Amino acid sequence: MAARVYLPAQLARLYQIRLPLEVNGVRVREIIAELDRLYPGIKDRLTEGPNLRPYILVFVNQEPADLDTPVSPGAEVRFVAAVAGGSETV
Amino acid sequence: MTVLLLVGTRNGGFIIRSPDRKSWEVTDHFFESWSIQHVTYDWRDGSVYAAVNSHIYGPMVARSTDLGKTWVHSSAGLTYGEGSRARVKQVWQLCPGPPSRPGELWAGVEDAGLFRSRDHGRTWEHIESLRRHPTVAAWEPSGGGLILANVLIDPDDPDRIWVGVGAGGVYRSDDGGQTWKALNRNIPAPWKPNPMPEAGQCVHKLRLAPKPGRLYHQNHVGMYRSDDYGETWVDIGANGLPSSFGFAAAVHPRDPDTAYFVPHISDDRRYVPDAAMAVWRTRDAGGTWQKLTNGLPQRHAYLTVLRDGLATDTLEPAGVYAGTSTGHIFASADEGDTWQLIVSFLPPINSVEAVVL
Repeated sequence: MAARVYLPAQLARLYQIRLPLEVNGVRVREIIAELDRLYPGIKDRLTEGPNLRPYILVFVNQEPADLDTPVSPGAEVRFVAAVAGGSETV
Repeated sequence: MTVLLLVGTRNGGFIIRSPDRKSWEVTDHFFESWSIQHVTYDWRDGSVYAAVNSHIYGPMVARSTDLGKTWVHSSAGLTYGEGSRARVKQVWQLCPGPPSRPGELWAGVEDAGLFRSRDHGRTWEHIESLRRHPTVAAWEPSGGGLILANVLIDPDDPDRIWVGVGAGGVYRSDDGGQTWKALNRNIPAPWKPNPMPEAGQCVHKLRLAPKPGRLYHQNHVGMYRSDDYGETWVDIGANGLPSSFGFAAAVHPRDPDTAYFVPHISDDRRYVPDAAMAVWRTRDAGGTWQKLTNGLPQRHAYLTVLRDGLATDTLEPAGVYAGTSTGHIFASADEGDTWQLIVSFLPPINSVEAVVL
């Protein structure tokens, strides 16, 4: 059973994705890899080098997570853009 | 005939069209919610490229083959690698390569560096030679960051490339980007311990004039011209212009002696003098200047025209376009003699480019 993946609206719009997505992966890292297979380039929007981008947060079943967090079948994986604004550079 | 204005703003890109340079219509808005630093047209195949940025999702380059209706995008290879302290934060400038190398596209980025694509922007390679130049230690962030916002290719020699870094200076390669020479002679960097350094100057805008070897240059500290491919620079702003500070520059499409600048008061008051909008034109390569104001707002106009906010078209007489950080575009169809406000209330404008189809 795949995980249910939610993405920020700005990314979903960029890739014309209807949410949630059903995505297979045993950890957040594999979820992102599978997303990138389905939507080439989306990995670079979520990660920079070996890490999540500085203003990207991820939650698994509403708990703060990282790239190595396990994802069980049917889990909810939610990528969130940190609330930051009011400055050009944040 | 259709004139297209390709406009990059802090909230997406826009295409504005006119059949006659009198009536204008905004026809396309793309990459809404993304900051577009630059939109450019590729005369080789009719593609439009956009430098698309987000402080959350990072930078990418997008290509449209149907004049902005649909896009593909990529940032594959737009990285300094995991071992580098430098990060590619934004794409600032795009420059299509020569006709002899279809698919070649150059990108200038923040943190300052140069990238090349050979496949229309799908994949990128870092031109490491530039950041290995011995003068790079003199580079430091300007108000906009440490940015490479100028890439020019000599139409007579596709291996001759100029880049301009803020604050880092002008560099030229004569071998397609393998080696570089710092070219900042006669241009000061007064914030440096040595105010006339080999590099570290703050380049705002470089433009190639339609004459071999001639460039115009809006620097942080003045307006300059070179007639020898950048080897030496002449201060053309000291006499006749109200300020040495500004961001943008534009050149006439056929007359190498005609260029346009928009002086701002100073680097701490970045708007036009007296809050009265004026584009300044030289007809003699910077010897004398005309203040162009006919049709431009002259009261309470606290306007800023950023690096790529000033453009010309290729018609006769040439059109001139100025996009402001307040989201207004002023256009002239007579080389700057008279102006009209053609668009209001766009997001803050980063770039304007005019294409005649």
